[in-house]
Amino acid sequence: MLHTVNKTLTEKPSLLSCLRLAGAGSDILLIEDAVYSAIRGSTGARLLEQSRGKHQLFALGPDLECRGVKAAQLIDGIEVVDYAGFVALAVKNDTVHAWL
Amino acid sequence: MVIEFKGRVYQTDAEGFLVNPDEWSEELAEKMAADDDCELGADHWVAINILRDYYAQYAIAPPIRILIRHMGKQLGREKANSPYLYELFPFGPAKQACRYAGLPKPTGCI
Amino acid sequence: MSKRMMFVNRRAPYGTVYGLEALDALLAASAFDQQLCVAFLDDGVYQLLRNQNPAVLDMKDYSRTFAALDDFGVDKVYVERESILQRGLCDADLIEIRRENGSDAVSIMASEDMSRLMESQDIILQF
Repeated sequence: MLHTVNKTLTEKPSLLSCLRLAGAGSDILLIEDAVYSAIRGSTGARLLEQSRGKHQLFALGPDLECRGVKAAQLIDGIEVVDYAGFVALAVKNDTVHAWL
Repeated sequence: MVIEFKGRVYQTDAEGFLVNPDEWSEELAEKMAADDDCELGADHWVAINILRDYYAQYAIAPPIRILIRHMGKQLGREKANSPYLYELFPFGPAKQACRYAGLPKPTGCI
Repeated sequence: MSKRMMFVNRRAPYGTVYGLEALDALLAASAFDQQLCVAFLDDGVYQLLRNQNPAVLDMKDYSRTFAALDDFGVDKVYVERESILQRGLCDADLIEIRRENGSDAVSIMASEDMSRLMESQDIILQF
């Protein structure tokens, strides 16, 4: 299953719920404001680092670029994907679970 | 609303501001002015270019006070005042100069 | 009587329209000769990140307007240090905002100083 998260932790605790409930081996894609949670040293990044073995982590490139977040600022183990990559993830996983 | 000019159609909002600022050209500015029975002289262009430069840098139109100060630097102190600006643009710098400059309609009281 | 007014930004840009609305409101207020300042805390600090490029998502880069704040009579920008650090950021990640005289308009401050500053305002508007 592909899980998407689109808010920061300050805005909503969706990332916490997603990490608690997403099954082992599922993919997690950070989009929109949730891409900030992948910045090394942030509260969100510490949570994501703990779940790296359990999930494949992705962040949407255009949302990073829009917000001025560079790939070098992200924690290791996050793969940056473009829209085609987003679609590929959605196709590979037959279910998309959007955490709102 | 639209402006039809040289075989092209330019979309504008209800007050005549260009919807797509990338479509702006000096010719189009002259056409907009001509439609208002206004001919753009050198001083009009100084104001328009100040507005365009400021917008390119800051993504906003400058306050009138700042526009006037920049005009003074280029045109001399005797032209650095609000009456002269309104002489150039009788409908007001926000509504008229920004429109000719291809900027979006300024928000607020600028 | 001129009032001390603070505009408080607590949201990230782009995900919601709050940041842009806050800036519009601040610039509108600048026409009324009040003592204005703007504060960035919590997710609001993301609004000040360098190198934003919202054109990729067809949005306007309003972060460029912050550099013009002094022209609009807003010459004090306060940022809470704890909010920066919690987000894995540092001072150098934030854009510079200078006054016309070249001095730095941005003060990055500890929560207790931000608190004092907030307590000293007549009007606080939060976005």
